[in-house]
Amino acid sequence: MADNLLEVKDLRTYFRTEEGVVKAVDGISFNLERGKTLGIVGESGCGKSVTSLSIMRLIPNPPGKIVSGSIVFEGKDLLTKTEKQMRGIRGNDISMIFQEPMTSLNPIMKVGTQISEAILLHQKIGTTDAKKKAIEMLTRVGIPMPEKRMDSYPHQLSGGMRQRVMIAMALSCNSKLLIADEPTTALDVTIQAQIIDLMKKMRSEFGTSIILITHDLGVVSGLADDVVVMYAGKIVEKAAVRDIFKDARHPYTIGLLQSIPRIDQEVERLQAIEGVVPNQQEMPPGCAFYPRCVRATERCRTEAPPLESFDAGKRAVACWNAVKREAITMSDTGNAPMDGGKAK
Amino acid sequence: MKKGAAILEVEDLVKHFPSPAGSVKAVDGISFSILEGETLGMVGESGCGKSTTGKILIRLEDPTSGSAHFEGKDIFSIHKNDMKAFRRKVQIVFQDPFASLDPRMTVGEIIGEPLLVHNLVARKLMKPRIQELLKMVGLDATHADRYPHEFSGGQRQRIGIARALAVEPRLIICDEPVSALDVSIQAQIINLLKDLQRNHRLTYLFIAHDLAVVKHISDRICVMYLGKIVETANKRTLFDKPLHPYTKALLSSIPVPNPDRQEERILLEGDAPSPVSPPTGCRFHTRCAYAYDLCKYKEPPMLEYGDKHFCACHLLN
Repeated sequence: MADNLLEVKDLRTYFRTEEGVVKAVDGISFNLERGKTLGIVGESGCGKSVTSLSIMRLIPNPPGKIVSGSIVFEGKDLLTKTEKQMRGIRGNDISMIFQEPMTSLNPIMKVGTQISEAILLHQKIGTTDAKKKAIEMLTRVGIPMPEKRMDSYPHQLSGGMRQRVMIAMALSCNSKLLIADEPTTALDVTIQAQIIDLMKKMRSEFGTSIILITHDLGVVSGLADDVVVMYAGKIVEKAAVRDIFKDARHPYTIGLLQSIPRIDQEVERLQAIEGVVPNQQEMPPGCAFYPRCVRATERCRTEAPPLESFDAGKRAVACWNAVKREAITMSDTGNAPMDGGKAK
Repeated sequence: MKKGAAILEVEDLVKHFPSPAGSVKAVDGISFSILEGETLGMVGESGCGKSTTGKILIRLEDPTSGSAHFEGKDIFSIHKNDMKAFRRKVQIVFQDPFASLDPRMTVGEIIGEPLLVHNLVARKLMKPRIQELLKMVGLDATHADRYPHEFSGGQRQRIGIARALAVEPRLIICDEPVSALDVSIQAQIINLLKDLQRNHRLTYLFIAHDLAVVKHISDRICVMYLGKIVETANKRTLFDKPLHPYTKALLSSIPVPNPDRQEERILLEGDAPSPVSPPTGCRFHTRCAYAYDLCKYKEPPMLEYGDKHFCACHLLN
């Protein structure tokens, strides 16, 4: 059996709004193996960030609430923990880095103090040792002149440097799980390359498992082992990273891959996915992707497809019309076969 | 599409902003031209001066020095009475579709305003023209009575494009028009911009940081670094045979959505220096792996290497 660090089962996180209940995360299940990186991909509003906040138990209540499911971390369900127990887990066993490092650092506190604080809070060591450890962490994430940088305030650092500080802080307590929510989205591309490189190094050095949340398929393909694709609060496809990029089965995944301009391919016209994500009040009763789907049938309109496993349980897809068996062709274009509608 | 003569020629454009720390050299002597009917992509990272360039060219900022000729006329010496005529020909589409539309105006008023300002249609014909413009950008004629907040990001960007198109411009400056949008919506807007260009013989200056997007839409591309253009070439040449070490690093930094094609990246050290005190000589020398003495004190000249492939780097000589 796989050694799972995290097992999320049938997680549902809903928000009460004036317009009604928004099912931000609506029954998702996935596992994260120890030492592996799982990419969660999807567009704005698909529920990927709410998933990560649910794992951290950071959903603001009200209006939000985890209404059902379980999040088992190292054999224990996080949803049964008290707030005090969670505080011991956050930043210690599970750390998180966000898209905009400026808003996640305290602007009136020196970065050195902030890192030391995290270490002091979670480890039984003295102030001097904590400071030493903080300097060591800054060195390891590649911040030049770490002793000097300890006394800098966040605004004195660039975006890339601030993200390095966040990573240093996240890893200073040897977290087993790092949740990275769009960690490079606010950064320039050359700085993004530095941070991706750093995350790879940290992963092999510390053996940290990572949940990488992003809309950028390029970033996922370079970092993740497995990928989960979300649409409108549900998982539509789950597979190893290579399968997602070489042999995607869900029309949404295929559409996403075809809609991005790529530097390694040249096309005259992009294959856009027509329409927009439906809002919660207009959510169709069947498959949420049905109004935008090129392969939609009558059944898709009325009946929501379940996430079905295939290929010996290695992958899963939620689509009535997707081919659910082992690869038929390994096309090299990144596009999966769209024909052969003989499901199962 | 066949490309015509140069519609815009920019010569030694400079823009310095005063700041307490010293003047910020946002744009520091750039020259380029845009041919009629083409898309010139302008790429670079934050603070390289690409957006400032766009704002100067539509006269939202005044340049510190330099010249720019649109259809042969100097745009920096346009008399204020003639400004309207210029603005009819050059329009801009902004990055943030949430910030660039007046929330208290209906979509019809937003798109109709340029028609009124420029006296383009009789009042009676306003409504049909607005509906025509809405259809042109893929929106519904009934959308004219709604307010911007009722639309998604992609739809708002379509409204912004319709507003720009209302005056039938020749040149549209697109300043990061798709970077605030989700990927599936991005493709819709890029396709729309391409269709409009073909149908209306538009010329684009397409400013963006996303190289894959710029590659897809542009005919030629210029790469900026710290207020300077370091390389200009046809897009195929630029991507197949980049000459400048910065261009090479930039191209290799782009994550390719293909797990089998994860090549060695050229990682640049550190961050871009401050535009308040840019490095002497070649501005890239502090982060360039190949820099030698000459790069530190002498600015490399922009020279041509092969068919309209321009690059400013000492290493090439």
